Amino acid sequence: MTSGRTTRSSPERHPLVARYVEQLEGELVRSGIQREEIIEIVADIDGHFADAQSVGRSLSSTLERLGAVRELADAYTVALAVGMGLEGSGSAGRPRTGRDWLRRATEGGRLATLASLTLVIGGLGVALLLTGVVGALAALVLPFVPSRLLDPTLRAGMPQLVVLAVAALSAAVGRLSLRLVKLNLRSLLLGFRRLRRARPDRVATGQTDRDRRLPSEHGSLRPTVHRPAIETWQRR
Amino acid sequence: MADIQDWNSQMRRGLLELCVLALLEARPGYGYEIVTSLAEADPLAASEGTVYPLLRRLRRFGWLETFWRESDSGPPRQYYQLTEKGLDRLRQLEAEWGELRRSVDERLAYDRRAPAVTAGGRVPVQKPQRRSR
Repeated sequence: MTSGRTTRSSPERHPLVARYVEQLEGELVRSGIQREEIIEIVADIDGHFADAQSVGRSLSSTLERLGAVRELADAYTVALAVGMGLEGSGSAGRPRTGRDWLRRATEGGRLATLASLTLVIGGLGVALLLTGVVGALAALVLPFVPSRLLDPTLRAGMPQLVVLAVAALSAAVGRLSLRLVKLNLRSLLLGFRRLRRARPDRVATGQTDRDRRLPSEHGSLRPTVHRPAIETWQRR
Repeated sequence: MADIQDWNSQMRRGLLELCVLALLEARPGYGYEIVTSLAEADPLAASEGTVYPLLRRLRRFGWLETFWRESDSGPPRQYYQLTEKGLDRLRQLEAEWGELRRSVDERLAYDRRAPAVTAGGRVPVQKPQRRSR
């Protein structure tokens, strides 16, 4: 049902709104949230400003209610990190690319597994790359070494071209492994950053610092769902 | 006072999800509309900074889906609507809420004047009685 990536940004946007939205986008990018998600989040907030303005709500009041950019970004980060923890998380679907898979792994809290994997792949990558480089050098140098200096097993060894091909393959696989390690490390960093931001009390409740202040503004909680508001909604 | 605020806040978080799903059962809605509608329900009033992330979380779980719709007054809006999975979730939460409310009401209606602590330090078990209103 989700259709195109449309944003409601308008050219006459107030500079404060533009700044708020830009800062929010920056924070969300730094939090490692997926690009598609960020586009829709920004569209929501951008639309919120437009709608508030259209009903005559003051900009200061809208900004006040939204809270600090960092807090809002943190709330999104926590909400989406919690969302990743459930099985069969709907719209996110199955990870399609290696990058998606790694992101899921870090968001799902499997950081230890990912760290071990990084070490193993990294070690293998370095070994393969070194083998490839040494093998290629050996294949290039050996023909110029006097045969009397060579061990008989080396003289009767594989042809130079085969050695070169194997060395190149080894180096290529080693290089690929190291690229994967780089990706792993980035995901690990993102994962650690998310863990640091998502304090346990917030993860449990999806709560922001701002909400802790809200009860005093809105009175006490009665243990009933406020039907009139819902009925008003249904009548619209 | 801070304890009560924390308690209120924790309670609201859980209920907010139920209320958002209940709102969207009737018809799809866009962010601002959902936020202002929840703000009308004073005890539940939550900041935009809570409701918007919650909407994204519910969408990620597959309980809500989004679509774009043209607006009379301006550019298109992103609407949220309940999915089949979301409807199931709503039914589950409604059942849980019913049970919880009944249970808490029964505890609150318990006649506190009657039980006296026995010599063994135990409070005699009494059938809960509803308060007369």
